[in-house]
Amino acid sequence: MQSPNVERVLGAHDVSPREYAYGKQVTEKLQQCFQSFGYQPIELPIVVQEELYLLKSGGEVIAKMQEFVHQNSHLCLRPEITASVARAYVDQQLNPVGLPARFQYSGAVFKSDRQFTQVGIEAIGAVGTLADAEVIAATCRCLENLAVADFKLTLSHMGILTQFLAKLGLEDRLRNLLLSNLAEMRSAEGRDQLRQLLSEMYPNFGQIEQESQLVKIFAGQDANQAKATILELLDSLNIELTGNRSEDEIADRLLTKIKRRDCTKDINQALDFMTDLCQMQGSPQAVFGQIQAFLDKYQCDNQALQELQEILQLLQAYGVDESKISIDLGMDKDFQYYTGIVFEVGHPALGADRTFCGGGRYDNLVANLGGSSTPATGCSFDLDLLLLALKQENKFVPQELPAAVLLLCKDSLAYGIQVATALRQAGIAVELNRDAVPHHFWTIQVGAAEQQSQTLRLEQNGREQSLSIAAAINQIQQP
Amino acid sequence: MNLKRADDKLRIAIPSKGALEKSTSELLAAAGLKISRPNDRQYIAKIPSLPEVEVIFQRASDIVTKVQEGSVDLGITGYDLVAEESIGYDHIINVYPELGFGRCELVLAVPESWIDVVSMADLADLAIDFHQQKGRNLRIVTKYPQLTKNWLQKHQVTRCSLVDANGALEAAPKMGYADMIADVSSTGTTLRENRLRQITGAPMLKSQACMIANRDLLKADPRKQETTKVILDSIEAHLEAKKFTSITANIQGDSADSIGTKLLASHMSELAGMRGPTVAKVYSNQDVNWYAVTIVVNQSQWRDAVSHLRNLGGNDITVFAPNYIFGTESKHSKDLMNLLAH
Repeated sequence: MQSPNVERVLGAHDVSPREYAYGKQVTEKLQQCFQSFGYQPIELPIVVQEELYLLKSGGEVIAKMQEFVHQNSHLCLRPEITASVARAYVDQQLNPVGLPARFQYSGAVFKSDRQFTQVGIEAIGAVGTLADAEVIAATCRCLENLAVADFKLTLSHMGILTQFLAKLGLEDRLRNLLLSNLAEMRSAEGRDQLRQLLSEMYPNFGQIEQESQLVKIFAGQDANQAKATILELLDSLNIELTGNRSEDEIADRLLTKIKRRDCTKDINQALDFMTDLCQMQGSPQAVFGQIQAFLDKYQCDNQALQELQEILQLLQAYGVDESKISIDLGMDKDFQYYTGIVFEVGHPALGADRTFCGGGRYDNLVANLGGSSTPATGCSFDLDLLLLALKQENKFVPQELPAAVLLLCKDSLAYGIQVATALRQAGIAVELNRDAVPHHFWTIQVGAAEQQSQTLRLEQNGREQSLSIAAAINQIQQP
Repeated sequence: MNLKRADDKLRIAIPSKGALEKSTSELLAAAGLKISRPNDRQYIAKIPSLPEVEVIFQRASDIVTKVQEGSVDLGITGYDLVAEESIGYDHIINVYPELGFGRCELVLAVPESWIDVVSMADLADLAIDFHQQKGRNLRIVTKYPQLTKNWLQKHQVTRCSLVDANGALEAAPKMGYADMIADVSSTGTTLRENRLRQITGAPMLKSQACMIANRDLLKADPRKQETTKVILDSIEAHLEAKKFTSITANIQGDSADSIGTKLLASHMSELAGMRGPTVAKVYSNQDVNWYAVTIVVNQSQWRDAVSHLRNLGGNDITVFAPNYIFGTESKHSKDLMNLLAH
């Protein structure tokens, strides 16, 4: 029987030598640039505890993770690397000399069904806009080094929305749901979808509010009285207690739930706020022109605005081209750990929905993972998308490494190996073959005559020379 | 060895027992594709009107796998099973999404006594309570782990473990090996009998029977495509016909035109037929001015249409249920070609 083809996994791809060389050189450019800002390379496991993302870093990404159970542990392939860096820092695995500690990494991540490479930096313990501006400036410097001309830097600040939601006192889950759906509020369709989702979760949402009779009944009772009432009620309804929860548990949770106020009004306020916030996009001047009125309308403070202004000044000092910068306060992130300045870098080759770099400030993540309160900021490149943009601009040409194919004759095997070894020691890649093969390198031929004179015949594009080994090395290594 | 199946027949898997089996056989028969099964224990059958087709009876839950593996070309089964089991296989295509029977919903249900759990938000809270207070995840027993997982994640419910189902899911909470269930329900009776209550809000999935195909097998064989189109076209024409009623009546009038105008002009013009009435002269020895009117109306409107015709002097009114209604082209055949183009 014919055996079936084993296909590659959906969303993963194979990398040819040519693509690999290209990707590697781009990665090295990024790493060198990050190194020049003092970011030290580290490497972290690809498989992580699912727990890392369940409550801590959370958000939309949970639905996009590739998770599995292995020997009773709930694990996942990392959907990003920042949380792992924070985890390793809390775990005291990174041994920084002091704070702020600057780390960089490069590795595979898995999100939705896609596998791609992230190259990024994290500055743990870095406070203030100076650190945020450094991360953004390092990103722009990377792009300049790669000669990417057409990138677009978009800034935002998570603080505006988180502060407003905190003021409403929404429960965490609701808050997270709203945070991760900010960009949905831009379109009527997105708003309807979010409202639909909210009404699926909170059946009372969107209905006319009326004060609950239950709240009135239980308001006057103390906890024990209230519980006794509920238990009696349960009893009188003749509801059979099956399943794995006791009467007590059910009564306790019902009481907590009754006492929690109806949040429809708050949700509606939050949705209005988010709809307005999404409109704040454009050039820095344009957004700064309208943002004050917005902040005043909702009685928000100016901190986020000030930070954005500081960042812009610092980026100017770094020499970042101002015409590439815009502000979009409706930006939302896949990860919920962001707390302050956030940014994304896009490119026309990727369209409006994708960006090849993103990051920002995450001041609570280290503490959420069990560390002491430690502010932090960072960013990462999606290498695959960056390569896509680079190819479109067609500017970054990878250097071809010197390489040659050496053809062996039967009567000069030993001499052939000797020549190959000499060339390899000089840093030239040499393939040994018996017969001519198609390739785009230099071709070297040696036979008894060459062995006699300790020379070789070097050929490229039909031009053949007889050279000494040293002269051949020179010739091949010339750019 | 010749690996090709000897006859190159188009193989279609249909459910081997239960309500789905009965409805599928009835649908195919009504669509002019009556299955001939020598006896009930044989699991291969024929469709005499379409000899190039072989019918394979399979458990409804195995049909998606059979199509996925390519051991059959087509399959009729519940969309719930298709949605669950075809995740990750893009060569399984849904060629007839709504066959009109086997309707059910995939729902989450909790023990009746959990009066504190009504909404998805309650469930999300409860799962976290479970984790904190009992030190374990909330256990949901289901035969639909993928759909359930996606739904829970979409609604921010974490800390749940999905438990594999053996036998009757509904008993699991009572027996204690799960806390609640995620299962299909058509009337809710089974849930109620087991003292379970559905979580309020939209169901996770609305399902009915559908026909799926293995895209790669159909793509590779134009003859199979043609046979599939005949099946789709026949089912579509039959299901379409079920929506309409054909009525003929004899009406006296001055001319065909004047009767046509009367039928169309009144405020009841939607009762004048799908594309307007057909009016033809009746040749009779006695009266000279009889005309035969034929109209096709929505099934729900046939009584109104009869009254309408009577009001205009209609007589000898006959009402038929059409067996098939064919349009200029079959929508599902066209959709099939689009799906195969990808």
